[in-house]
Amino acid sequence: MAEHYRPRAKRSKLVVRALADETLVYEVEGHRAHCLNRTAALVWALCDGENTVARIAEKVGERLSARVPEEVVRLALEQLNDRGLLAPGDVQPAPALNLVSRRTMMRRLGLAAAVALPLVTSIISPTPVMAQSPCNETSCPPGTTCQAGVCEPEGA
Amino acid sequence: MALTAYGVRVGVRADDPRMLGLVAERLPPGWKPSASPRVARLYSLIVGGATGDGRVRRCHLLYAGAELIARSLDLEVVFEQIESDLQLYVAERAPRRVFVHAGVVGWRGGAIVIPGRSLSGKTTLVAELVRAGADYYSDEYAVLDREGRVHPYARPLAVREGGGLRQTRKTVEEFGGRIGEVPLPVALVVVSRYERGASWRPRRLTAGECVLELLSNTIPARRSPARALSALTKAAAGATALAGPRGEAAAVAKVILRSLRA
Repeated sequence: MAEHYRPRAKRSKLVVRALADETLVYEVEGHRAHCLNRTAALVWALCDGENTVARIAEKVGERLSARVPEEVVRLALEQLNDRGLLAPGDVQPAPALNLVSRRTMMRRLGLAAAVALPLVTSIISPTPVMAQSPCNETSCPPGTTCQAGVCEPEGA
Repeated sequence: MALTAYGVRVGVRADDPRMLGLVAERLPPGWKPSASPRVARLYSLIVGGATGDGRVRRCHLLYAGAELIARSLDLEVVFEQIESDLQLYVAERAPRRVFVHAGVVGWRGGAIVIPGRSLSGKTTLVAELVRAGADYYSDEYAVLDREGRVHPYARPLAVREGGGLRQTRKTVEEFGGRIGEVPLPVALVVVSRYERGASWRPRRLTAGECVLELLSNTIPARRSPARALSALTKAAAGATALAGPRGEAAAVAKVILRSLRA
């Protein structure tokens, strides 16, 4: 099954801006903004419903002039799926990697320096009042807590 | 009175005309009277105070359209509300500018932008940067044009004294500084908040992370995401972005300016 999985990216109602090494994606309906590093952005761009995971890995490798294991593509797909950047109903059939530290994974996969592990960073876009005001206990996005009026990562 | 600020038309009326002069002192920088009576938002101020026999005190009331947005016996509270609401309204709807909640100073032809919400300590850092020789641009908004350059929004600094939430306005001259006048490209973005005893050892953000930090403080982020992202992307393209907790603002200000000297 997994070898026939052909991921499809969400493409509608997005604002996309390409930077030198990253891609920014803004969801107009959910008001979430995402920053995809180069590897994640390459994988996302190749999710056209035609390419298999193996083919995506091959094409990303060509772009980066390095061998890219399928595990890296699966890790990217897992993050893209978690952030809602794959088309609705697009389900990744194979389990992703057991998440260990990024450094350990880099070593285990023997990635070349040119290949960064895929990374998707996200925020919830603020309302005007949120952008202006100090936070309170209910206004911070998931993964953060309000500390002295500022949203800080949990445990910080 | 009808006025235009950053391309947004607003009206203010009061049952005591003397109040309009006091409101005018609190309008966004660069506002101009508008000849057209058509406005996008109309504020109505109804002045209260003691009745004729002095036995009853009526509240001052402030409406935005039909909505009551302030009701207080303290006229200053009502003025603060009209200032805050009008400023936010203009910041969200300005058609040719993108407003980011941030402090800004100018230094050697580039802007240092310090995004952050209220209480994040950005005014304190801006004041220290000005004391250290930077030009003052804003302690409220980084006003970006479509090329990502920052324009001055130089109102007196809103300083909190004695640990309270009430702010006092101080002119930049009181800090020994001067106001910057020309739009500047962004040279440095500082994402930081005060932490007692912290030393300034920031990590460098990527351009994309920098845009996300700016976006999370951008007033029209939801209303105009495409326009906002374009301006922020251009602003971040030539900038260094640093993030981390900071200690006392005076020491950090000097380090920041020294780093841009090199």
